[in-house]
Amino acid sequence: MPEIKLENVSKLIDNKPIVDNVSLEIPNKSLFCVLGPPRSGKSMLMRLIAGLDMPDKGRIFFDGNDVTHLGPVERKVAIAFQDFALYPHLTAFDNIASPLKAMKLPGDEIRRKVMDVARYLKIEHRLTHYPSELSGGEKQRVAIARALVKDAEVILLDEPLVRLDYKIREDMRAELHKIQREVGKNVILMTSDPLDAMSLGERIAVMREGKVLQLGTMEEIYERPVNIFVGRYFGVVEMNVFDGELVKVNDTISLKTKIFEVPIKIARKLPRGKVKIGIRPEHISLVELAGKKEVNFKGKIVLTEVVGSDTIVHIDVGLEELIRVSVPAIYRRRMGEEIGVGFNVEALYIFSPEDGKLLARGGDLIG
Amino acid sequence: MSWKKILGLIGLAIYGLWALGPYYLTVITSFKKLTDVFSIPPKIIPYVDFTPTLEAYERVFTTRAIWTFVTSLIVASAGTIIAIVVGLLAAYGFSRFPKAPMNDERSFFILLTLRMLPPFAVVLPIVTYWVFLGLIDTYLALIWTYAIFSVPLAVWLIKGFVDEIPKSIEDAAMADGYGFGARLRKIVIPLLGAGLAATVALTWLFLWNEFLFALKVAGGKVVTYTAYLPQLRLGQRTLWNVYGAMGTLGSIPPLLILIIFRRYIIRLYLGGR
Repeated sequence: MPEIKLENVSKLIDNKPIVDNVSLEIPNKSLFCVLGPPRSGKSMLMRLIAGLDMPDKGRIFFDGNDVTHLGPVERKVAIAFQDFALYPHLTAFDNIASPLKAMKLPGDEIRRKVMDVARYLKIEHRLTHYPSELSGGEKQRVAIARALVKDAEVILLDEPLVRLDYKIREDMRAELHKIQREVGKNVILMTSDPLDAMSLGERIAVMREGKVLQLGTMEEIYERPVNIFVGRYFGVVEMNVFDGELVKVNDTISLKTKIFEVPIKIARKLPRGKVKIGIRPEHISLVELAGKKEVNFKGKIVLTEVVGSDTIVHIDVGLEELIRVSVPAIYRRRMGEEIGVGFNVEALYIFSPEDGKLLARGGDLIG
Repeated sequence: MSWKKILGLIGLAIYGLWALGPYYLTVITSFKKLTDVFSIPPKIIPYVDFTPTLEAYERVFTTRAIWTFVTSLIVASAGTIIAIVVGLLAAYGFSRFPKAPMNDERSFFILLTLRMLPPFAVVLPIVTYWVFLGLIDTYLALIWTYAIFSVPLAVWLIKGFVDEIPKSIEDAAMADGYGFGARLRKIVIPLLGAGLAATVALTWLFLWNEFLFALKVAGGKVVTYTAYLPQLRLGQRTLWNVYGAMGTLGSIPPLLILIIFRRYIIRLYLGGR
């Protein structure tokens, strides 16, 4: 169960970096999550960690040993692919048994191990079927079973949940957690769904365009996203971002936007001038439900969208874009109705307008 | 039965007569005495127009003629095996390593042009080549020539089938611990399955029916059944009844293959699996 270390790893395709100078450390026995939108390089990063592809630059270490040029077998990794990659001409049993057969284990041992893992994943009744006869969730389980059966030290899962229905996703998420705890191996999960990362990843790397933008725990990334992209991406509902300005009026510094102006004490020195302001939908509340906050203003409801047990209310408050407010209840209102909204300064994120980097959290500003 | 169906059946019957008629003539000619072959009006119905005889077949089975079928079987099969092994590996490379140097449309096109020239246009240099090597009229020369001329078609067909196998399946096999050879044997070839079988069948058929190279690259000591046909003469007369017998016997293997592989070959032409 090695500690995995990537040192300045790059992979080029057609001279374009797909993985761009990535350095990472993945601790022992952890559930590590690589989060990134499609084509952000996370699949290639997985292939590099697995040993399916060799990096053009950089080194990869497992427990301090250089494995840069070793294949998946020598690295003792197992992989569950995004499209499951089951062998269509073999039954579920033979699919799961495949790595054991490659090791040339005796037949009864293969049988015992396959049955164990199949029972564990509750697919023992489907073993005689071919992949084309299995449902999406069952194929997923067979793919994971094939990865678990061979006692690999690292298990890599590429978008394991993306092809599943909403309900099965929830179940599988819980199950992946259980598997990682019980099997006690290094599990590395590639996903483009922030929900997967937030609910599963003990440590998370956020990728974009081949680069790791941020590495940290879920709380760290949620509280202090390094830039607007991570802020917007890493959340259940996308963060609101709008223009603002830091101005000095009679010795006090104010954060000013088109619709509100709030005096703030500055704990850290911030340059005067234009900034981007971010606030998460779950940190804005409706005055009629939660009372007034430090900053309050009015807007018109454009749309209410029920997601699970939450409602996302899209409100036109006169800013550049509609403001999304997440209400933890089913909440129905007519379009065009006027409504009061409010938030506290500590919930704000202040980003640089040029490169989008996080300058400060609202909490820092209260000081 | 509707009129449409009846008309359809009549149409099919006419087509069947038109298509099978010549073949019928070949078959009945093989059961005629040479003197019956050219009679006018033609003798068409056995036992009515003429008395069938096994004379022609006796001639085939008691002379060198029967051994020419064995030769054909050997060269067609050996040529097919080499062409399929080389073609499979080449097709795999073309399909799986698109970034490899020289793997572009041009090299694929050059490979296919090998097949586009009429054999007649290249037979002279090929013969010169084998004469120069001192191997003219040997099994090796004919098999090698056949293999080389069959590779392009094999590569072209098999590449299409390899393209259809998701790369991730092979990645999975690699992660499972299968080396290149094991991957090819346990994953790629079984998944090529029907496509590979159809390619084998087609390649073999082309070689079984091949005439020009058989005649020019070999044809003296090593004689295929096609190359033997021009020798079927008695003085000035062509032994058409023995032609008929050779043709009938020679069409048995292709017919068997077409019947067995019919489904796969049709799918091959339809471009799917």
